[in-house]
Amino acid sequence: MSFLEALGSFEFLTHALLGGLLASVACGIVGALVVVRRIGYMAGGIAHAVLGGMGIAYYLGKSPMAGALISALVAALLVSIVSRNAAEQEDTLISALWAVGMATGILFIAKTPGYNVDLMSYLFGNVLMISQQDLWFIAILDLAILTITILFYRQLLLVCFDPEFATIRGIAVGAIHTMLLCMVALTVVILIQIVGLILVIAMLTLPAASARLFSPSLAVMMLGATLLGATITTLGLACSFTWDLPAGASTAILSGAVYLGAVSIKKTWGCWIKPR
Amino acid sequence: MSIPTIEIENLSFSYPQLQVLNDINLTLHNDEFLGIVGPNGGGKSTLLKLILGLLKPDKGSIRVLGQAPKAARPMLGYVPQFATFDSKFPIRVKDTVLQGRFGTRRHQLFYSREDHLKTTEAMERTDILDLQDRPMTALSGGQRQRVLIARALACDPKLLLLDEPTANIDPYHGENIFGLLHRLHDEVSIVLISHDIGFITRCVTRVACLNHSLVCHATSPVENDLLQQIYGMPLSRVEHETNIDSGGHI
Repeated sequence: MSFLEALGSFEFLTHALLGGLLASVACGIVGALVVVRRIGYMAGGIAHAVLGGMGIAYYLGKSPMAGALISALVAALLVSIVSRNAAEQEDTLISALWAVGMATGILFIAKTPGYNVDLMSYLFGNVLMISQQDLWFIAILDLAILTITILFYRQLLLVCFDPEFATIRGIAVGAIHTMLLCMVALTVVILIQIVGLILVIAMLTLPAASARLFSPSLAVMMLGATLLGATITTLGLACSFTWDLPAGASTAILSGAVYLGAVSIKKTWGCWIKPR
Repeated sequence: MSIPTIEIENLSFSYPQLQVLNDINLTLHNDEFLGIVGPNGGGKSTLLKLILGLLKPDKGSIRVLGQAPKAARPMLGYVPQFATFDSKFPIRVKDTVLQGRFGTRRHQLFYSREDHLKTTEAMERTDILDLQDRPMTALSGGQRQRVLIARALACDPKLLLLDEPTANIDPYHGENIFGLLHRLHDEVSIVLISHDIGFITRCVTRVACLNHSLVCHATSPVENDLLQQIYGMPLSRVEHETNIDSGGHI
């Protein structure tokens, strides 16, 4: 049975496909901001620290996704406090958050009585298990990200492009930066369900970095990254189904391949396709 | 007597364990064009950041247009060095210039008609109107510098502050930038930091030499013994002609 035929007959595949497409919206918009603001490392720290919240929620018998959402936002606030007040030790403190967050999650999961959850599905995603409720949850987070971006597009653009000038023109740069990190947190929570928290960083940076090579403006880059993300998650799912491969890893490998392809296209024909 | 554009009294500033500015006094009047020269690490950029209120003085006071630096910001046009930017950043010329309109009035969701008009006007004044839809990545160094000057002009500033506007630009385009500033000087006071003393001496009304302390000169030519005093080593002034205009640069 081919992937397209299977899509019609298995609801879980339709859900997985929709999940990937919905995730691409957040991944394209926020990924573009992460790439131009160069905060990939901060995003990685937030993504990994989320396991702490998921582990605690799981131990308490609550929804791991609620735990993920709360811990992602807490991690985003911590990272923004660090970058505002201790910029010299930023990388050390983010590394600490990264490792301690993950370790906390693993401890809580280990101490949870009864049948042990499949830790692998948190780490590497389990897109085939996405429920209708998960899809609504992703759609709502998408909507929040889209609304914030439309309302604050100009400020986000200026703060990413030239934070010093933004300060001089009276923009609350610190607040915009914190807001951006919270958007990263929401995106992380979405992407965990698609590719898992370890591979989040691939989806958050590679489609956007590929789109940037051919984009004349940030808005175009966001759109390009969204379309690339949608293509990558769909193809990833198809590969996974056709050859019985883990979906998260296939998707991450495809993002890497797309980025390499984009760089070589730019290198080979770059002079003909200058962004205009 | 009108309020001085900049009034600095007994200003000192140091970074942790590094004294940068020592007892600076400076009064800049309306319609002046001040060039600040001096060696790297002499405190030129620090002084500019103090005038913009990005740093706080340890001692002494700064008044800009009669106000504290932070309060005066809406009336200041600042042109940073493009070299410190991400040159691959995806942004169009017009969107860059529009950024200068922030801070001109209460926050609004979108740019207004007036914002667009002022932006067009600023791009006309700096001769980049035909580039407005181009991405910054497709521009030359001189064109990028003009975009940043247009962005600074978009808020109708009373004072224009420029940080090394000719760094990384070839002499021909550097000359064009100074020509542009010379024209702008009819409407706005200008403070310019540069190591390009020859260019500076032709269009400024006053030169200040800054190496931790500040020495001002009412007349422009910079003499050899003064250079030696500021830079702390023997230097000579080399005259050479450029295509556009006769003049020397060091």
